[in-house]
Amino acid sequence: MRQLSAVLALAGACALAGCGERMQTIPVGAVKKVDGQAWQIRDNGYVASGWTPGDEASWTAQITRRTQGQNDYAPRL
Amino acid sequence: MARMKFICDAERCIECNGCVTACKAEHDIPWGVNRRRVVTLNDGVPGERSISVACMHCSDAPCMAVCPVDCFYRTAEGVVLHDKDICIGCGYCSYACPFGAPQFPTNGAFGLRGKMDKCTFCAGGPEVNGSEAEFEKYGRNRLAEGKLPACAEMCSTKALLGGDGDVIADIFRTRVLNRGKGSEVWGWGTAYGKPTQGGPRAPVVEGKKS
Repeated sequence: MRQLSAVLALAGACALAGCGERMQTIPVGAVKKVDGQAWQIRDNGYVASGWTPGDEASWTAQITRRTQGQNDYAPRL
Repeated sequence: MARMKFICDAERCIECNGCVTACKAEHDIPWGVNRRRVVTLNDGVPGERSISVACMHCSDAPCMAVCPVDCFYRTAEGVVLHDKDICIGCGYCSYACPFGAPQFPTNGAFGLRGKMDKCTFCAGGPEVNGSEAEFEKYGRNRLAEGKLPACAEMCSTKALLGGDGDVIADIFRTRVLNRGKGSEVWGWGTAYGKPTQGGPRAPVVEGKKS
C-alpha cells in the first residue's frame, strides 16, 4: 500500500510538472539593446575629417555640409 | 535635429545601378540581398523613368507596427533600424512594407529564410558604433563616421539625394524650379511649397489644387 502511494505521488508530481509554464514575456531592457548616439564613435580609421567625434554640433555641421555637397546650385567654396 | 530622408530625382536617374553597387560593396551584402535597387517604369518605351528604391525610413513605419517581436526602433535622426538578435525572420515586415525594403537571405539548399536585412541609411544597428560586430550584422556606420549614405554620395548624376530632409528638399526644390518643369505636379505645393533657401517660389495656379 505504501509503495503504491509512493508511486502515485511520484506520478502525480511528474504530471504536475508538465503543467508548469515559463514566463515568455521579455522584460523591458533585458533583450533590446540601446543604440548609441550617431555622433559617438571610436576612431576606426574611417572617420571623416572635419569634425570632432563625440560633439553633436560638430557632427550636425559636418552632415549638413556633406548634404549641401549634393547641391549643384550651391556656390562652391 | 536632422531627420534623414532619401529623394530620388527621376529626371536625373540613368539606371546605372551605381547606388546598388555602392551599397553592396560598402556593406559586404551577400548574394541574393539587395538593400537598394533601381526600378524602371515603362522600360524600353521613349520617356522611361527610373528611380532608386530602398527603405524610405518612414515616419510611421508599417514594418515597426507589424513586427511581432518588436525588433525595430527609430533613431533620433529618424532612421528606422532593427535588431537582428531579436528578429525571427517571420517576414511580416516584408508584406507590410510598400517599398519591398526588407530582404531575407536564403541559407542552405532548402531556402531557409534568415533574419531580415534592409537599408540602414548607413547607420549600422544597435551594436557599438563603428565596431566589428556592427559591421558583421548591419554593415558600415557611415553616419557615425560623419558621412552620408554611400548610395547617395556615389550617385554620379546626383539623382539620389540623401541627408537631412529639410536640406535635400531645398536642394530638390531649387533644382526643379531651375529646370522649369516638375513643380506643376499634384502634391508639389504640399511637399515643397515653402522655400527657405532662396530661389523662386513654385508657380501657383489660382483655383487649382496643388
